[in-house]
Amino acid sequence: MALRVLARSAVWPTTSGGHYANETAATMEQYGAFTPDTADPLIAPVSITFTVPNVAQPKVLVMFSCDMFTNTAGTEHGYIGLHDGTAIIAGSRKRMSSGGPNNKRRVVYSHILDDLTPEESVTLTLMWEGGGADDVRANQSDTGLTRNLFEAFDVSAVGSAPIERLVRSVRAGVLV
Amino acid sequence: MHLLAEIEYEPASVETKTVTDTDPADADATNLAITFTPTTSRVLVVLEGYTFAGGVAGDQVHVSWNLREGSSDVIPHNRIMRTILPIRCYWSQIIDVTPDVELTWKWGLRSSSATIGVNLRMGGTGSGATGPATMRVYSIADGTDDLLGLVEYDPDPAETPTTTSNVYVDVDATNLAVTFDAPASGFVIVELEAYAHVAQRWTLREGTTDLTADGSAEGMQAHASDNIPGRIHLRYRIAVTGTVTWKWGWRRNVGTAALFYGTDYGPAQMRVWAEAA
Repeated sequence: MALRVLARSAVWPTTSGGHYANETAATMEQYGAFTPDTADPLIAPVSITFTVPNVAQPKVLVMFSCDMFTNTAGTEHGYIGLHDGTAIIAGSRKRMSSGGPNNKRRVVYSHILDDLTPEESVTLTLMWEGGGADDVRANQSDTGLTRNLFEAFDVSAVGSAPIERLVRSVRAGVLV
Repeated sequence: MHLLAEIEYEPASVETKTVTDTDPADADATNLAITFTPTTSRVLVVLEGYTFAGGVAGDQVHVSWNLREGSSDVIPHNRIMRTILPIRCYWSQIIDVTPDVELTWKWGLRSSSATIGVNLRMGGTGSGATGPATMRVYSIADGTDDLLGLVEYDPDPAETPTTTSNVYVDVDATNLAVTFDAPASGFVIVELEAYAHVAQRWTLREGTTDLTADGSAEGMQAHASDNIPGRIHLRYRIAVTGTVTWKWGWRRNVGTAALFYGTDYGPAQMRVWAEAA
């Protein structure tokens, strides 16, 4: 079964500047609703919308990847989480790091959603915050080289295994 | 590709697992062990965790991960990164399995130093929270309608190519090239993963043409790392028709860019997945 992309948003940053997110960690919970920094598109795309697969136990893999940059002498880490319009999704907040002051690094964030209602429309907003007093940025200004990817994949188990086993048995000449 | 099993271990209080051993050892045989029954002959395993070396910066200790079954290694260790500052790292690999036989694989952790440990950190709440350590296993359908192309180049001894080119060139047109047929949808998802050092950009090339992502003209580069050596994973969605051979392309950003693959580092990997029509 081919990979099913439920939603995908990609942005190629071309403007200068960085996304500053130097709130303390507690601040993210205090947002209530996340307000994207529309003046600075570098962290965009901030939202994706998809329809939950119509299977008994839908599972959706959400991934975000970007170049992460930590300011000189920064605190070397930040957080990424997912907001569903009401609250940050439990378990989705994860600590990221570029590996040290003044270092840029490709980071990959992922989270699997399995508490979903089939055929429901879901909009996810990306949450981004610094881990301390200094700046953590995505795609700092010297680049214009990278794509931010915010994606959702259907990874539900859809019961194809028995069919695959049957086909394999037939190929092997085994009666089932 | 279906999710067979997942563990997200996120204890209420921060836990740090430490291994000081040049042979891989279990990071946590209880909580970081995943049990699954494969339904096909290959699985994709993904590990994500917040990891770092011990010692001081000058020690340059490498953190390596692998998978273990009982007291044996399922696969050799793969170097993940080299810094004392924690990084959330992503590692993935396709592994052959016997269908319908239950397996339990544990997260293996290894230090390049016999005296300085390496660490995996997880859990906690509030400002000190780290998030989970994650193990996932996906099934890959037998046949060719799921994983269209796969290259896992794992030479012994390891190879360490470098480039100072300011335009894209092939990394290795022989060994890092994947040939496949376009799926019905006309789009594929391509993954590249390898251990890299010094700022560099990757792309895919057909002949001498640099490909573009999503069928657009915006290009498809992405950075590896400026200063910290480590495993980098990039992903692209690309339009395709017919039968094609795509090569891994790279160029430097600044300095001399390097890649490391083979023994001790783990394979350089190219995967092509069919996007559903």
